[in-house]
Amino acid sequence: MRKIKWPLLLVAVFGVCAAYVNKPAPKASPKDIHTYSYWYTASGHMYYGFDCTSLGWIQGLDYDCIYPSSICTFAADPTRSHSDATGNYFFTWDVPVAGINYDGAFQLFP
Amino acid sequence: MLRGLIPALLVLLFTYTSADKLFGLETFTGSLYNQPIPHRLAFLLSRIIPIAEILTAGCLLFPRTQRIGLYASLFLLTIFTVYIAAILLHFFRKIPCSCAGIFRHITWQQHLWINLLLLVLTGLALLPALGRHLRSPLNHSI
Repeated sequence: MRKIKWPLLLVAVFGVCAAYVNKPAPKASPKDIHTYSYWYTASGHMYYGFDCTSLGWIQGLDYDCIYPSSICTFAADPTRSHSDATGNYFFTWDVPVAGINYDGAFQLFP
Repeated sequence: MLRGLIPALLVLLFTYTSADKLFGLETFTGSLYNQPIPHRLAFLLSRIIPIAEILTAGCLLFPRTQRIGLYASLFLLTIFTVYIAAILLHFFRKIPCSCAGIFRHITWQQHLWINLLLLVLTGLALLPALGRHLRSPLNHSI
């Protein structure tokens, strides 16, 4: 500690302070779960729930919900490229295009 | 003068970026999930990267460990530059957001140029040490 470069330590403190001042704003509650796609079957719908906020997506910026609907689907900002858990894009109004099949596997609609 | 400024620049870079990641750890983890890497690896990296950056900045603060810090900086910057280049060369299916700290407002191309500049500067800072190593008697005897 005796041999520390004090000017560099000041620079380090400045870096931490700058990061603190510019820290991201709090996001929506992590419990804000949005269902974004479903698998349609003859017997009904199987829904796939997804917590967008856990991926750091910000409602109103990265995505938005389209109402009225009992299911929240997406309108995603095309300038902020994202993929879902399976690597699929959310570029446009998300008409449900995928879901979970009877085996529990995620599957794209043909 | 430049030799003194480069470690300061790197300390600023690594303390800012690591603190930014730790202050918004959830957001940073989320942004890594949006990168074209497996989710388990993304979670692991979200913890490893800030720690590596803090350790690098810490090494740069002390004269005895500054050279190690410069090599660590070179290593981290090289990995990230290669990753950016891979993105720009379309090695991945999509171009993810560049969403860390001050860099969230710049494009990947700008990001690449900044990284290349930092890489060159780090290399310049390491040149005297490399020169000493090459001139050392032990090296000549090999």
